[in-house]
Amino acid sequence: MNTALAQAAVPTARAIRWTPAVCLAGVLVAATVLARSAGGPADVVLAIAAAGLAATVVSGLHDPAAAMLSAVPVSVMQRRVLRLALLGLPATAVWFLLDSLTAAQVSGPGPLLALTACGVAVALWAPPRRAVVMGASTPVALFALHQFLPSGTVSDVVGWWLTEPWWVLAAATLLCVAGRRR
Amino acid sequence: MSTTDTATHTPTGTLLSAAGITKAFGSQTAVDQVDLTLGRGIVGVLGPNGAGKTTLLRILATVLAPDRGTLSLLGLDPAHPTARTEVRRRLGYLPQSPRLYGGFTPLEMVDYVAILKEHTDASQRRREAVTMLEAVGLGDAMHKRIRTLSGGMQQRVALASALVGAPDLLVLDEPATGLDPEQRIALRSVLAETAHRGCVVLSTHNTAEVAALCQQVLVMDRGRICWSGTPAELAGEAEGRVWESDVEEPTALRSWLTGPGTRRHVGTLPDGAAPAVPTVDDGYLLVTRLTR
Repeated sequence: MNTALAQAAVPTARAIRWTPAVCLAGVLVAATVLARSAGGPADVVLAIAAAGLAATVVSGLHDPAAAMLSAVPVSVMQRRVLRLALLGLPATAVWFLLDSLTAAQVSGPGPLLALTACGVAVALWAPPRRAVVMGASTPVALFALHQFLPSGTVSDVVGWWLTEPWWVLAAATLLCVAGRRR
Repeated sequence: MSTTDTATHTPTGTLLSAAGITKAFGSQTAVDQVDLTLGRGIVGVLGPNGAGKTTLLRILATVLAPDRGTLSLLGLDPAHPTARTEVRRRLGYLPQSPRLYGGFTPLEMVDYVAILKEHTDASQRRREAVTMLEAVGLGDAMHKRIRTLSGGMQQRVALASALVGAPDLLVLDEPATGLDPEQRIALRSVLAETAHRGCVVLSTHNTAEVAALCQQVLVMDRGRICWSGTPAELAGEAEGRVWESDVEEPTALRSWLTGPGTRRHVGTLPDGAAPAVPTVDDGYLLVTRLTR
């Protein structure tokens, strides 16, 4: 199985649509550089980057040939993990690049990983037809709610991905494990 | 053969058996108490839209688990994850309207499916992918991008992907969709070859396909197998109950205009009418109407 999954890595990477991810990474790098030179809010830029990159990673779960591959021995769960790894590694690298370009107080990949895990959890538990769309929307929704909700308990809870990312990651990972057969 | 929920065809041992399998989506029962025992050969599943064919095939392909009933595929119980994986190593599945990766070539697509079927010897896998693509008539197009191929060619890429690994159980949901007559004939040869070593279950709306290809026919309606037998037996169901005339017939269960402009009817033969030679179409229409 592991050999098959390892051999599947290159063609799976080719099956992923990279153009949106590359464009987003370029825009984020440009925005970060601009924000730094203009003295903009680095924290917000990194939060936007976390949401955008997490949404991109989760959207990689979309597999156009999923029906064709639904009865192969390498399970859908294994193929999803492979897709997440293939997109997650460069996304994390981009995050560290952006992090190095700013002097933000919130550093480290915690928020990115927390948002990604939240998105994957939603994708696993959502109705199959809309799973990836709902999952990919989750990081953006959490970012937007955190930005635009008035200060208070709800806003604090919504912002845990930023303030308590490792706990959120742990909880979302548990949800993912519980929903892995879905 | 009379109306029944049980289909039996075991020329050289049972490869697939189902007992009382039922699958519902909400309040809609898609497959209802289906019993099935199949061996080597080609089995065609006929039925109107919404009859439950696709759901039944998805269950037989281990894509869906039944809500109730027992299922044995190749002697294994797919309800258990380990057994399901083993079944999938020996299974080929072509879903309805399959989508492929447009940026891949047919060779890359079939090779990718072979990898996911755990064929880890790269050179042997490549050879097999080429053989499969040649078998479906895509030898000249195997290096073109899939997005540049016609719908029929893409369907054949998907078929080659399902065939890779010489599966003992081949489940095909409307495999002839988008194929021209020449390609359909080629498909028959490929499937007949596969049926020598295993069981091929295919769904179709095309009764001519069934008559030409299948040793056994299952007719599904409203989630149940309402008839099973050979194509000749299905045509025989309409023996003495099909006729042609120039006018509408009140005793007909179904009537339709034929190419020459006469009307063809199935039902109770009226006095004085001359029975026509029945076809699989006639038998199918009669069976589905009688079971409603």
